[in-house]
Amino acid sequence: MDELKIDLTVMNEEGLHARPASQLVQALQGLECQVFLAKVEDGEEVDAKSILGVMMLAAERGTRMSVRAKGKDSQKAVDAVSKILSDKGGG
Amino acid sequence: MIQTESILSQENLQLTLLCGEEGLTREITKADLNRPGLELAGCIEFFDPGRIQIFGGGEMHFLYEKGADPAVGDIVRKIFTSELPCAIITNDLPPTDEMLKLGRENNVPMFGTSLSTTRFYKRIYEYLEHYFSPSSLIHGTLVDILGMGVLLLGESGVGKSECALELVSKGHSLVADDVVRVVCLGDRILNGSCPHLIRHYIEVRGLGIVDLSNLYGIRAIRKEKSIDIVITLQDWKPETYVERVGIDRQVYELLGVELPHLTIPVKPGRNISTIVEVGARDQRLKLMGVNSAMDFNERLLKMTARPKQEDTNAAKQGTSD
Repeated sequence: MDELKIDLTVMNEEGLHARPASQLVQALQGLECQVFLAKVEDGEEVDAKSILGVMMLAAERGTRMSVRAKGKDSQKAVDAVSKILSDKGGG
Repeated sequence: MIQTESILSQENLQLTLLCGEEGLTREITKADLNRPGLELAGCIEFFDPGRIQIFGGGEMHFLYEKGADPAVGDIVRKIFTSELPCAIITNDLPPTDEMLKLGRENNVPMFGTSLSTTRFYKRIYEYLEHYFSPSSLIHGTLVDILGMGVLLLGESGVGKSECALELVSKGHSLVADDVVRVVCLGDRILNGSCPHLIRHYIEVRGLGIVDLSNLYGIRAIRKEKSIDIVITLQDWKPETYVERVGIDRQVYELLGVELPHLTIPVKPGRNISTIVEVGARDQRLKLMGVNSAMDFNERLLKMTARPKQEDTNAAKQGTSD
């Protein structure tokens, strides 16, 4: 099974708050893969398709995040996550 | 890792600081404790400076009597110049002047407690265990159904949160939705709680994020709960194996602990929350020694076994005739 893992930095001014988090979850909905998101510093993964999970990370601007996707659409998932995390504006 | 200061704020430990305030930033790196009796008696080779040192009645009375002995004084010095997180004297016993002096010189926090050594051991271990036990974040939902901690698992979108919401509206309580912090206590109890930031919140598709404690009041929520059973919700497919009798015990392993496990197929028209509730009730019955499936099978066996006996009797009669 395809498994991809990359590290990214949160670029959004206000961090990963409700709006970018919901964009993230929305973008991953329906993709055939599991996606996990964690802060690099502690490595504790949450399900990136869960809005509460993503928001629980309380990732601020500049936080290093690791994304791990497993399954058929893992490439699409990683692309979607990196697009949203690197978006400076957001919300 | 936690700082020594944190134990001072635990009221149930009844600690008072005797000296070494500057050392309160020392770090506690493990839940292990030590009573330095063996060290004071001269065996210092195996001394582990990473542990909190607890001076009980035995150690203190030894020091009151033998503290003046240079050999003993040397060992006390070795203990207090090590990296120990702190020293604690139980039973409200006074420290020796030497201990106070060494504590002040080396910024070693020293506490006194009115508790007996055994009681203190138990309480501080309970506190430290929470920090140093294996823990994990689980994607799932934890509810309390009639005192049973039920961990709902399943892929996102399968309906865990909706199921939890229905259970709450039936009178049960929610511990955590979507993200559960699981800590293994004492090697066999899994304690589930909710990460602070999202406590009491639940995400319901179509509604968004709602606060259950405001909507349903205090009875709808629980801060933590031990996990008694795992229930996986699974999209129903004709080919998936589904338990139909319930005689075989399925288990789910989490942090090295085996929990009873049920898999419930989800399809339109099935009332998942009722099934989950019955699953929890049935598990509770099992814990009390009543196993519905086994009882039923025994009843069935009585029926099916009887004709066989009659057959053999008949066969015997047949041969005798």
